[in-house]
Amino acid sequence: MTMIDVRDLSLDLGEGARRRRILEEVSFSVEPGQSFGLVGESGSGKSTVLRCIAGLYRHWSGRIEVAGRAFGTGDKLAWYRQVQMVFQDPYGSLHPKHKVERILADPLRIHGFDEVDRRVNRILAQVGLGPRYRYRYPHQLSGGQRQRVAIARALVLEPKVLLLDEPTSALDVSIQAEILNLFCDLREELGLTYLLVSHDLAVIDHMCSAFAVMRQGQVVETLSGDALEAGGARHPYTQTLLAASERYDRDLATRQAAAQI
Amino acid sequence: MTDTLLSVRNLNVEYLSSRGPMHAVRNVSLDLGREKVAIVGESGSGKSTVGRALVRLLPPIARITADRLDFEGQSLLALRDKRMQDIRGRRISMILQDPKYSLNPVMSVGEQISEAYLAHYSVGRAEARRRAIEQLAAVQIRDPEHVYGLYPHEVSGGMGQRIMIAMMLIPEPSIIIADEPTSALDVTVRLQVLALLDDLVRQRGIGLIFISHDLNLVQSFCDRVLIMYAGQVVETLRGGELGAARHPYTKGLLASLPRIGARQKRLPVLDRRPEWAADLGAAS
Repeated sequence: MTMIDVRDLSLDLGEGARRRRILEEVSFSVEPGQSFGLVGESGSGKSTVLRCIAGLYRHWSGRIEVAGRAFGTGDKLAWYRQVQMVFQDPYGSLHPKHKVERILADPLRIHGFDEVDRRVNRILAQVGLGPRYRYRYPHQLSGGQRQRVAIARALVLEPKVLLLDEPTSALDVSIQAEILNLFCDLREELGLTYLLVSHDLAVIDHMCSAFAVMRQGQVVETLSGDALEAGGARHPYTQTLLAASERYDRDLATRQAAAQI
Repeated sequence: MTDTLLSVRNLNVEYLSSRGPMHAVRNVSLDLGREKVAIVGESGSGKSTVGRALVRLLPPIARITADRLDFEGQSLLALRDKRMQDIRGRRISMILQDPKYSLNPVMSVGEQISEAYLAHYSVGRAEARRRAIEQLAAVQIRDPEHVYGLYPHEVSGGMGQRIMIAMMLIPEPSIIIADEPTSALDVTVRLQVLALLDDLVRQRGIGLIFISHDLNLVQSFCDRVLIMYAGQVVETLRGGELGAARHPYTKGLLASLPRIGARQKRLPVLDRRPEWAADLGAAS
């Protein structure tokens, strides 16, 4: 059974003359236990896809299914329980006046879980933070530790799918390595499925078995990791993205500037 | 490196607070000619503090000392504030990470560039405007007359950073200190901004100090790379030779980067050793 299935997802934002098409018939699917990447530059619509799946936008057209269930059918809370999001900025995504304990316990209470105390302790241990972090405020934690709390908050509801929106781009590379390793471990331990949004092709290639390249609201190419490494990127935009991510290349810059004029 | 624009020996920055002094930068030395030199490190390594100390842009609780801090033969530390003001912005300018926060939101971008020119030269407004438009064209902005009248929220990140660069260039500085100038930009836009900085070094003979956390990027872009850890330069490498890194910190950082096609199940994690932060002592 496919875990995430997105078909012909389209979205418009704005009113009247300012109405703009943000997503144009985006389709992809992800098998259980896999990670799928969405890569693209700012404004490509990659984060918007996550927001649609998470229910933060609802006026899209098309079809979104998670674990065989279509969005908008059945119990709403149950949908949000199985699909949880981790945001980019660990400084902005945690309530500054709530201690870690409350950040983790609130979602459990909302969703009517029992044994809140035990679950909070267990999830803290799972993300490598230990019980002493329970009574800290976000400002008392480093960036990496905050991102662990954000991951714990997403996982405490025992979701099937994690939506990861640039989860390491605000972190130092050595901390990024720790967090990416944590994601890999958790995926195996808990049988999770990831949908990872990043502008960094190296991160996408490391984490994902396949990914879609997005530009201006459309998927221009879907590639497997194997195909990427075998030089299978066909679309010129994917090739540019690939070359520009690897290093500074003066000739590429010159060619690109010439192409724009 | 024919002529040295900036010569720094044993630069130290201490923050004096109620909890005692905090030694943020320890014995940093560097010589900058008409070239691209990178300072790389993680958050808290002191790399940005070095950049700001060079133009004395630190709060009063910071004490900057150095055996030598010479710009074109004159000591910057000995200068009075008024003289320093003439050098800062005019001879040595700074580009910061995010154009969104560096530009005044209620003033058109063109006026801001004119203002930068007027601050350092006694010319008329019309002349400043002409120079500003020229400068916008020089950073490859199409239709500079139109862009002159735009407000910061009306331009994209890449264009915003070009506007910042135009503003920094208009007084014709001989050194640019760029602190993470491309970290907020998309990779393809980043490429364009880097090419622009590259041209300035090649064509105008500017010296560039490029402060970044991105090892991979700087090694392909800069002539030399200084790696900072805990306030000290632990290793200096030539561009393109990061593979020759010897310090375990540099090697650890490089290993922790994901690479396309590397197929690693787990990424090696940095094992920070207390001895990396040990005092390396002053250079002679």
